[in-house]
Amino acid sequence: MSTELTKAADAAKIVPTVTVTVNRHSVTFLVRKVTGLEIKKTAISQGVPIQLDFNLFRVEGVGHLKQIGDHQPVELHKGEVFRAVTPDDNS
Amino acid sequence: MLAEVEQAIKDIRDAFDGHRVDVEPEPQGGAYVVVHDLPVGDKYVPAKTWFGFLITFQYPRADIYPHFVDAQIRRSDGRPHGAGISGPTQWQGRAAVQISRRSNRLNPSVDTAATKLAKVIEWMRLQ
Amino acid sequence: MKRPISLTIDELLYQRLHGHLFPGDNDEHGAVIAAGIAETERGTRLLAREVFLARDGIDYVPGQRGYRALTAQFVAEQSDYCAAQNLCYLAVHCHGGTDEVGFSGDDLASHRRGYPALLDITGGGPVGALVLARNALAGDIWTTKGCYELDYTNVVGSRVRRLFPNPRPRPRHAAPLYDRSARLFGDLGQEILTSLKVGIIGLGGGGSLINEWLARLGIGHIVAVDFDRIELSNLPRIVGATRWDAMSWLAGQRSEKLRRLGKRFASRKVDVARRVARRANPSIRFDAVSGNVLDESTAKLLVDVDFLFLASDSIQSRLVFNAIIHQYLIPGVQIGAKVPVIQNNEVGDAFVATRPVLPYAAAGCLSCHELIPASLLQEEALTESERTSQRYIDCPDVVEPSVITLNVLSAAQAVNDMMMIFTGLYREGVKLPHQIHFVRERLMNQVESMADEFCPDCSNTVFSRRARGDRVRLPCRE
Repeated sequence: MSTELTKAADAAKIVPTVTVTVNRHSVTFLVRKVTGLEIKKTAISQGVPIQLDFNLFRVEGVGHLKQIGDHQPVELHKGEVFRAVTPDDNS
Repeated sequence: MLAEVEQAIKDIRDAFDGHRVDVEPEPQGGAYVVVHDLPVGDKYVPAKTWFGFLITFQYPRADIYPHFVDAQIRRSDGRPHGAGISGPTQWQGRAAVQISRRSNRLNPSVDTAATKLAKVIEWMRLQ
Repeated sequence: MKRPISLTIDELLYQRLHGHLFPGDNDEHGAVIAAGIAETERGTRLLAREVFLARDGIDYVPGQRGYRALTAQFVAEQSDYCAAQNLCYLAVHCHGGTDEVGFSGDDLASHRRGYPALLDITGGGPVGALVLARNALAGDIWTTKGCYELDYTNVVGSRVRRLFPNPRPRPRHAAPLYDRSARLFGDLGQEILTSLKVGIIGLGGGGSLINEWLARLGIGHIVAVDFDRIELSNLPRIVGATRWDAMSWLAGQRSEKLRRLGKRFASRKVDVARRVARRANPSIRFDAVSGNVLDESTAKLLVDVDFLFLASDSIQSRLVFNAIIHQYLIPGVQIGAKVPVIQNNEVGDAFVATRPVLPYAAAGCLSCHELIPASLLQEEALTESERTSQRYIDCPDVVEPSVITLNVLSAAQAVNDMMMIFTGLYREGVKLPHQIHFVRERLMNQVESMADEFCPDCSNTVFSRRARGDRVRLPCRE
């Protein structure tokens, strides 16, 4: 293996990623500590059809949602599940 | 014009002292505001422009967005404007370019019409 | 001052006050409440915003004339605060007993001595005193025009309780019409429902369901607000609406002129709601308000309701609703459904939301839950041509999917919440989190409460509107 390839492999090893689910889409992050807004931005950049003003929730067990504010810092864990829904609804 | 909107305009006059500020009240209690001759840096020709925007009646809970600048303004390097700047369009009878910098969540005690304008100018200078 | 005169206090504040006054030592303790005020045709409501607990032996000491008294320094500090914040000053202490309470001669003498000066300090007050037993509350309220007894106190939480200075007479038997309901609520519960004034903003798919159910529950007074008229496409959802209401033979015409004529002469949604409510309960008092809650004169019609439903689509009306709830300490609930249609007409994560909002922090505030985005408020304030030219919408005629059975899910929970809150059927300590029902997964979710410590609606920061009543402006247009 060339020196360059070894370095690249090492670099890949030392940049741990964390993959979570946003609305049933896998979204991968290069950092664990993020805000709600950053989660939405990353999800959008990876093709999840949501918008920045959506409300974001972390699914905490069946039937329990914890809302994550735009500026709220959270630490991501592998396999966590998020839901993002539009803030407006109709009557 | 509602008291909150009048206060916002006073804040703008204080923050941009020396610049002409035109105000046109709108029927719901808000106002269309134009602040003249604001410097946007040497990345643009001309380097000064007016900025126009609407302060709505639900200010300060409502964002101030988008802002408009003179349609004549061009990048000095000849490139087209980037994301967030679009046009040409018409705004209040003026040929304008639209600058879309929206904030979903404001802290009404900190974020004012004046600070938002300052942030938009700074953002434009950095493009 | 208009009678009756009442105090409204939220459950958390009341528990804090009660815990301080009744620690189990059977002694007297003191506090001060800073309160806003609202005056309407239904009477005068004092609205408790903050409680300042007097420390025993420091702020609440042996009195020169009575058993105990607040120190002059404590009174000066709290009354200065009330004056600066344009709030009413209410001194509080406790007596023994459970279901009956009143002021002693010493108490009343101290009011006569001290309150004229406090009225001066606070710029006209009102000021006053409250005395609590474990399950009773009396008040002596002073204004520049005279002094008045407090008639009752409402404690607002997931159960709304009413405290009086002394026990009430037994309620009358519920009318035979309500026999089955009264077997659940009791005669008192039915009497409470009959005494309620309830507001509904939006009489479309969700609001029209709420309207009929409230009338059938026996609610005494409904204020229904909507500026819209019935359209043909509303008929599958709006309770009681007919083809005649929608002017259907004109709505289906090719001629634009005839269609416009149909729209102009179609029934107002509030008039259909009134017809439905009166069929369900001929003795109901029904205010059909054809207006927009964004207009202050319309919003003001809702500041003395006992409960408020929001069933309209706009974010601007959410801001006004959330303001009324917190500014006037009125419990409420917002309902809605969303059926997002994404690429290729595929239905996305359809959901139904029921969002109770109680008037204190971490109790469902729509602002804290980021449900009143500043950017959407701005967009909704634009004219249609501005919105189009600024490219917020691709097609101005875009219509959202909507189905009555989805509206039912949120409307039923909302009306049940109101019913359980006022009849006291929710168990003690029950929380009322927002509910989001993802209908395609048949999954009901509870959303953990959020609170922003600087919230302009539900917090107690100096710039928040909470419990200020008439003394701040609602976020309405001129």
